[in-house]
Amino acid sequence: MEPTGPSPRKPLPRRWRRSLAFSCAAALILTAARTGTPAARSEPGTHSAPRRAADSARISFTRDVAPVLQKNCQVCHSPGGIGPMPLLTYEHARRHGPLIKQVVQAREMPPYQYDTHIGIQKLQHDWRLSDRDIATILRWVDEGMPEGDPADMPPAPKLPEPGQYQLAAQYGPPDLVIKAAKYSVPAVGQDRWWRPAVPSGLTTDRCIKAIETKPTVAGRSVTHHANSTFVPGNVTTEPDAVGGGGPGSVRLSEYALGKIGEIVPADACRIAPAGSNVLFDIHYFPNGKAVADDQLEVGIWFHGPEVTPQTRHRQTLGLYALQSGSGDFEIEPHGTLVTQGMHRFNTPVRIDSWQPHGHLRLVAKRLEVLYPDGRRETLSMVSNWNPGWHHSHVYAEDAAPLLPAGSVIINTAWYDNTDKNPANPDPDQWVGIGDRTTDEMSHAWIAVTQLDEASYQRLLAQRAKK
Amino acid sequence: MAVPLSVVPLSAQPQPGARYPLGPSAPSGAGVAPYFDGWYANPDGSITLSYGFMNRNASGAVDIPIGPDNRIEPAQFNGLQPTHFPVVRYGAFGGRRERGVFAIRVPTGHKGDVVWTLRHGGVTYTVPGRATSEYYKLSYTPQAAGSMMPVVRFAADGPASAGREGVTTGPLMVAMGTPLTIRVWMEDRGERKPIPLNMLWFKHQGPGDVSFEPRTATTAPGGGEATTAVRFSAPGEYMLRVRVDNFGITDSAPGQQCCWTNGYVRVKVSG
Repeated sequence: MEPTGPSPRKPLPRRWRRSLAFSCAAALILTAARTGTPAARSEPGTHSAPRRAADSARISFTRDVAPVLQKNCQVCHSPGGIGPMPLLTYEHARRHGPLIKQVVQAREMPPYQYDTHIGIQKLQHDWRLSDRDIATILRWVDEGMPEGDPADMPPAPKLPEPGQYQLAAQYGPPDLVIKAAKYSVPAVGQDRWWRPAVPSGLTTDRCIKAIETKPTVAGRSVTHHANSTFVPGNVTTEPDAVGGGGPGSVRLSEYALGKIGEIVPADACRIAPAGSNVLFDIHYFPNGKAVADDQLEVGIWFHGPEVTPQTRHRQTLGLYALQSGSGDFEIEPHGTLVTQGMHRFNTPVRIDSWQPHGHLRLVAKRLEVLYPDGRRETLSMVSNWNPGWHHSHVYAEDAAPLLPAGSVIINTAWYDNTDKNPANPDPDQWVGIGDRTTDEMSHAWIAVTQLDEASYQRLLAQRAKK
Repeated sequence: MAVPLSVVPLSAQPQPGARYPLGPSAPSGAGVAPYFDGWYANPDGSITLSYGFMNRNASGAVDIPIGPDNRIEPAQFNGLQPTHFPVVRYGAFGGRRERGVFAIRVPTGHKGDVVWTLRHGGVTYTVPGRATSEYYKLSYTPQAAGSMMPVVRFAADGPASAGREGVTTGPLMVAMGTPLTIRVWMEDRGERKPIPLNMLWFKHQGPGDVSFEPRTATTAPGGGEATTAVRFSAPGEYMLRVRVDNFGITDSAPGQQCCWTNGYVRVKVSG
């Protein structure tokens, strides 16, 4: 069965690219994490907030557009935020109105790339604008961007401080913060991998409720990814220390540009083992500005002590790659490529989240499942991949796919090494798999809850009742 | 200083029938893709361009003699590239590429790309070396845990080098079938506690088969020396490459473009 390919990538307008992406020559498209309270964001296709019907009167900024910007944009587009321009006032919005229309209509902003009409649509921490919000912005621009009555302007929201844990709005301060050893990132030079191990301080096994990896504010733009793994306590920071994934190791989390965090379902336990160290694997990419003593950290929220690994299903975060390990693919100059990796589950599982991973030539990714009875279903699709935003798409708890034993997941990736890809630094080059930003990767990070047959059937029955 | 961009020759465009989307590697008969691995800015204003390759076959080395099917343009830079392309496979994200096999120093003021062309199995592949993108910039400075490219010598007090351009010795003379003994001195330069270094020999150029005994060695922490006996199956002119690396520690792996140094030995083998 030949999969349907993604729609061609629409390049961002040149000035948008220049201002957002390439203000620093070595930066990725969007090089910083976003702060905010995404839980407050609206679901696609729903009304984001009660307000007067926009179609009953002439549309206005103060009444119709400002609430959308406040809820979805200002967390980045404010002084000190990572957005290239503030969008707090009417003047701000009017100045950039046509550009806002373009990027919103193309669903390039807010930067949450996830197809709206394919696969599972019920997601947690979904940044996508609703169709109605998009229509409101488009109509406002098309009607000349009227300001409206200043009295209609909603009060300014309280924006989070830069560097704040984003999940703190939902869970409060983290229960445990594990800080990597400091590293000074030079202004220029090739990619670097910093892999310190630090004690977790855990004296008993705990079940993780949520995790957030947080680069420093200064370090956000140079942190390409940051993996963290619980390893046995004898792993040290010596230069000859082993990498992650060895015997006794348990994946803690994976962070890449733009990601918020991970949330473990209430009935699952991602274990934090006692007596462990946390081994970091931080990929820095110098972008022209040195960052002294950068110190990335991981915040962990735990379930209460009554929740133990014995009372919950085990959840793991795994790297699902091409079948032959890291894969052998390569992309020709000015060429395109499709890869597919598959994995068979021998027991029933629930897929809790899907996080595509790739670099500058990746343009689209899809997750499918092939059921034992031969049915094939698309679970998720990203047709307009943005390497600056590696979101973990967390399925709503009543929508996370339940897969019977013998199911096969299919991870498909599309790559574009032509000059039509605005992120491509040099379409004349061959591109192969590798660690560097100029190389490519093909995997996805997937959080999977392991189920036994009885639990699987019980969850199916619970879904059926709803 | 950046080397200005120039027009890529038509041969750099994909060749008809040369794509393998969703296809497994061919057992044999496929071409060899040349790779540009990145560029170094040298203190004197020159640029060093680093190249590697990927043999697209599932197994079996490919040999492409220097000439119309294996050339570097402009011609002034031709001749350092390999003619022998083994199938390699590295762990993790290393993949099947052999990186940093040779490097070309482009003098200050040079205009245009340095293009490597390989023709084999009915397809022609090219790649331009250029210093136009920061994404492809490499550096000589210590890596995150202090690793640096080791020092390699072919004599205890001989010329030394660290990096892709490496150090070259020879030509050495030997009769076919007679073992040629080569000694390598290796020194870890990492800004951390000294660690052992790894040595690995490759046939780089030449008409016949080459055997190494031993092909690999590992030094004591900080470096050391190793001796290898080399035999040649046919007369002619050869170039051997030794790679000295500290792969396996936290900040050094092939896929990370760090940390190794090349050494080259020219050999004339008589019949």
